[in-house]
Amino acid sequence: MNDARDGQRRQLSPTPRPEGEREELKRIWATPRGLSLVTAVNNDVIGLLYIGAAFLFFLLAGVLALLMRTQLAVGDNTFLSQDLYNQIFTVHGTTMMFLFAVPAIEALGVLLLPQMLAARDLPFPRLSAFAIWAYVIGGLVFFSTVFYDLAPKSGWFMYPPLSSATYSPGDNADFWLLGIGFIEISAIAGAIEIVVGTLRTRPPGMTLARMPIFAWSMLIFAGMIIFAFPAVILATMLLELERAFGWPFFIAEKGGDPLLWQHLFWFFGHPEVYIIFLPAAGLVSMIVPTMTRTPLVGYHLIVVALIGTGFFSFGLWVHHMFTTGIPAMSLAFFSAASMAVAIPSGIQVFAWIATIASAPGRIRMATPMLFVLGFLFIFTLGGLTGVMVALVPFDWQVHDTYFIVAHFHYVLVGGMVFPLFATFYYWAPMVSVNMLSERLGRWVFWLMFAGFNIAFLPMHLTGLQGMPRRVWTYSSSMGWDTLNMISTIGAFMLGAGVALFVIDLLLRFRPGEGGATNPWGAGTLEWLPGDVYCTRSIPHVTSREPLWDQQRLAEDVEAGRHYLPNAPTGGRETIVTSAIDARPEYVIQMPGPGWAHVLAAAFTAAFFLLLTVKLVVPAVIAGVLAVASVCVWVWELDPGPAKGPVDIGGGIRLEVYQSGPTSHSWWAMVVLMLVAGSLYLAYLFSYLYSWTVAPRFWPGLAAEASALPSSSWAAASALAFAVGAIAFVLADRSLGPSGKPRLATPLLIAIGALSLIAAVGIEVMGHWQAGLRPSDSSYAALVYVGAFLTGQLAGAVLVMGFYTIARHVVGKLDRVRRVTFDNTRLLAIYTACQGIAGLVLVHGFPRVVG
Amino acid sequence: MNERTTTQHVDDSGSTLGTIAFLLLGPIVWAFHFGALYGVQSVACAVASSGGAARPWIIAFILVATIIALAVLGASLARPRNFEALLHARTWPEHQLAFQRRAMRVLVILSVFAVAAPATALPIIDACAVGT
Repeated sequence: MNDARDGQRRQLSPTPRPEGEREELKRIWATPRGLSLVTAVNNDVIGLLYIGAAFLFFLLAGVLALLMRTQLAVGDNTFLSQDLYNQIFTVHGTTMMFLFAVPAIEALGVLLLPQMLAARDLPFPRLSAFAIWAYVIGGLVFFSTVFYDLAPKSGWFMYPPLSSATYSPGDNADFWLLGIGFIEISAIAGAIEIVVGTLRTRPPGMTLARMPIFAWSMLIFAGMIIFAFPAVILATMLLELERAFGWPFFIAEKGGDPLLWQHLFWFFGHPEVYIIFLPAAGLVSMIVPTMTRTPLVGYHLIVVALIGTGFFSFGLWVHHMFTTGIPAMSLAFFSAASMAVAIPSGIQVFAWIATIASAPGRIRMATPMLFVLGFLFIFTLGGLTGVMVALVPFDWQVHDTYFIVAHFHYVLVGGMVFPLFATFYYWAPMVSVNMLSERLGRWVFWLMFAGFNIAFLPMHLTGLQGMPRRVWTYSSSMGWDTLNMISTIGAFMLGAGVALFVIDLLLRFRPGEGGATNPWGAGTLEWLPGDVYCTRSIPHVTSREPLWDQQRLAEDVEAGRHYLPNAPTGGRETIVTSAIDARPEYVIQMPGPGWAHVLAAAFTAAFFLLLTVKLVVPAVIAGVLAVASVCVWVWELDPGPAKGPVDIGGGIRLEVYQSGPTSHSWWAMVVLMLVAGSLYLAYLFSYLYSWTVAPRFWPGLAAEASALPSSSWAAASALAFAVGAIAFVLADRSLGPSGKPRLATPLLIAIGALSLIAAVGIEVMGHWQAGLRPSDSSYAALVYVGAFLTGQLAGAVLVMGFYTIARHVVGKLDRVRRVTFDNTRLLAIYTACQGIAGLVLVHGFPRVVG
Repeated sequence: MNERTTTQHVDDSGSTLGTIAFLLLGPIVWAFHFGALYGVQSVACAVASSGGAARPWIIAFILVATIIALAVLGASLARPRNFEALLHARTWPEHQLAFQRRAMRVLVILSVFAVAAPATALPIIDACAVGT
């Protein structure tokens, strides 16, 4: 795995480097100052903002937890009202899961990945910044609802019918549905960035087999987001449509089923646990080798374990629904998958133990290592109770009791919060002038470790004694007082530990350059000397721990002896390498600071939040402004090949522009289409599931049967979809050389986009004229949602199409400079395919089964 | 390193998609098997809720699907190079190839367990009995 143990040094770029080169890099990558700081896109700036915001939400949700523990400390307590308690536990869970855990992990990805991969930045810095601002604005507004009696109160998983308009009137539930749905879009934007960044911006030589485990875990994390989050986005969409317009997806008397929500929610919700855990495990896999001064035992087994866990976690969602009356054999399938996922998780635990055990006498028992050991203890206990609740008969006994509360806190706090604190102590020197205090750190650890176990271990017993979760208070006669009091004491100890950490941060954490270089003696690239531009030159990597194996690598990189020690295009750039074997392919030109993506985030947040409080016209205006801001933001992208090719060192000359399947832009578009495909698959599941529940509402002979339009409507719609796709294929062929625009190109793009819109319109009109109304039944509602899902894509193609035409008109689009067109074409063809698949389902399936 | 312009894909490496598919072969087979079992069993039980004629077919389907999935997984363990060629997944450099072969094998072994485990419910649980 290592081809440089001979100690050979590399001189890929000539030295000494020209004077002023480093200063030019600093100028190009400089962080804006003053108010303009909000326009920054550097990963170290927005990454810190991201992790800071996530940690703020952790603190806020932690305060809510302490309020809850105070309420539950004794029986018959009236410290909080029942209604406020319901709001608090809902906002606590929602904030911890959606506003802290996933964003904190994405923040670490944004902050650490470019450094670990020695990339100057991730490939779409403005997309990252957009996602972060959208999350910060949306998250703060959502959390503030708890102060105005507007917070949701149906629990973090918002089960209907409790969350329906009938049982949860008012706007409270809508804040959850639109707010969280919107924040998940931000998470998906981050995931696209991480997938493309991890696969395409690794340094030359860093093959997949040499990729740091954290990068592997982030890749799998992002992949899981792409397939899991669309399910809950669809679920929130359906519930909001039901609440706002009466489309009965979850109303039993009209053919809906509340269990559909549970299926969609947990298809996201269970992988979510691993979405949070796997990157945290990746962090642990980075810290353990450094602290033991030993290469990680079983690198490839850990990669396998991460991949296996990522896949198998999608086969567990029904284990949250064991008590809902699902056929026993289905339960057996999911129980088996729950067992299967324990194996890869176990592999990782044993690999860490083996690494620690193989380094007797070399272990550095500093604060990060303490948190890692705390993680191992707590997470393993949580994993063991996880195997217990994967057994159907046991789960029936403890379902919805405090045993479950104890279990998932052991998994989530052990599996994510402890590794996160290890991360804070371990990586702080990378971004701060000072390290955090070792003395205070030990106090923080022991207070958190003892406090956590004192708080949550007794909950196993309160649960086994029958105390249900989510209760506002309980009778003292139940005998749960002592255990609850112990839990409350533990919770405040845990809180004291976190408070001490905040004090340590305030005293010592000072973002900036000039801190200790590689204070732990780590072997990975984030510990190379760096500045705002990341590393002076991009290293050629020949092993998994380059700083351990490649002699004087840090010195050579800092002297500019490796790749791209300068800025040959005069702007921000980094090397794009091949996905598997990390061969240099081209140099990507990246955008710098700007206001447009910040405004886009603000207007997008405003659109969703105004919609929540039913201010439709201002919401529409905000939506239009958001789209306009995005158009301004992306206008300067797609710069063309004029500045290349350039010399990056090592005798390699690379182009500075790439279109087609090897371009990073194409990859991002494909990932986005995977997201759209996942959303549509969740819709297909919903349609077929609802049919199994209430087939009498489907077109057929039953009294409640719905009408089906004649097949000529479907044929006309399919024809329009086909015309749309063909028009884009022909537009591709019509692209002229630079400076010679052809009239056919914009004409064909316009025909293609408008045909897709027409196809959706024909489909909707067909059902409407047949007398079908979306509020009639679950069948009718699902038919219209199918058209809506394709319609929103067609709408996006329309906007992108006219944007592409505008670029053509001003001479920024030709057969070489064509990335913008490629993206539009890909989405248009995907939209046509999805539309035709939808027609086959909606018009074909009822005719087959009717 | 020789002077060269690296703007074209060098054809000594497998396709990216093929390599990923090869690496993930085991979990992909598991995902299809799991989806097929759950989907067919749920739909068949829903359709046949009043009768029960579908139950022998469900059991037969589960057995056949499991045997096919295990056969594919077994073949990939026994003849990984054939699958590598089929998916155009022969990568460069050598250490990368060795890594992906090892990782693929272990993932297949994990998947064998995950594919076989659901079928063990067949002798003890009625195909459509409600789990209450």
